[in-house]
Amino acid sequence: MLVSDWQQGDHWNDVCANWNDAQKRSLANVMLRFFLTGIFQQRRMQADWHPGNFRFCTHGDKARLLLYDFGCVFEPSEVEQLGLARLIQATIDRSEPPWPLFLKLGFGREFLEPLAHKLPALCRVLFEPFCCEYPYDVADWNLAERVTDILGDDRWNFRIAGPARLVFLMRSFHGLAYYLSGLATPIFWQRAFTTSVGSLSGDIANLQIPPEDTSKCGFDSMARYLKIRVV
Amino acid sequence: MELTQYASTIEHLDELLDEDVKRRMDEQEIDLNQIVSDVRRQGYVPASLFCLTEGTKQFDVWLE
Repeated sequence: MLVSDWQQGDHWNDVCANWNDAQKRSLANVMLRFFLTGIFQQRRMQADWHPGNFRFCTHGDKARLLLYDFGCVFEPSEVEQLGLARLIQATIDRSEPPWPLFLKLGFGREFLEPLAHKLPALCRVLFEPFCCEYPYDVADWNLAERVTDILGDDRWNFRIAGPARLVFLMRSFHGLAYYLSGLATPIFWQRAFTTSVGSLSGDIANLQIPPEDTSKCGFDSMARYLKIRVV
Repeated sequence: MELTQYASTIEHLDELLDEDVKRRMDEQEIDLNQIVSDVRRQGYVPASLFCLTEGTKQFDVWLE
């Protein structure tokens, strides 16, 4: 017996139409934590974020997420968990090149190597919400257009290079972005990420990354600042 | 006057420029959307983006 008590909740359309700003902000934080906890703490995450699988309820301004269907599950390996955390952290603080980390995550060298120099910019855009030291509004992301511009003709190589099982992770990530876009409220991704991976910090640092030639594919190739001067 | 922003602000450069500057860019056929697209293609590397002269004012925008 899997279900012993039926929980009622609002459909996604009701949330968008009827919830107040505080409730939406609370739900946005709940959904981000749900995503991050699934990867970095439980290593078991919902991979089908279809609105039919969710209901939503509130207690005052506090939101709760109800899962009706947890049948499509992605279980990241420990290497995937730690590797992804390290890749996001490296993108935040520009501490190491992303290319060896992609290899550690299982990307194919043959297809990824020709575009290794594009990975810093790609990571900076993919993980932009984590890089911002303030609440981030996904309406500012413009992810698809920017990724298309960065990868250009290499976009298919990037997709082919990726291990098939990470498709589930990408589906979850897109699902999260979909709901946050609908909630239209900025939230602090970096703080949630830091909290979520805090207990893993030693393991993340100790993850063994084989040495690679990264002379032309580090974050130091990217500009840090935009300057405007009027004289 | 010199304004410094994070490089990612290039995605919203349009909002940082006043209308006179944008009008002048139009007159000189400087395509801001194309500049931003090129910046992405080149991986957000340090580079001069454009320069404008408006009367006695010189206006420079770059990534560093």
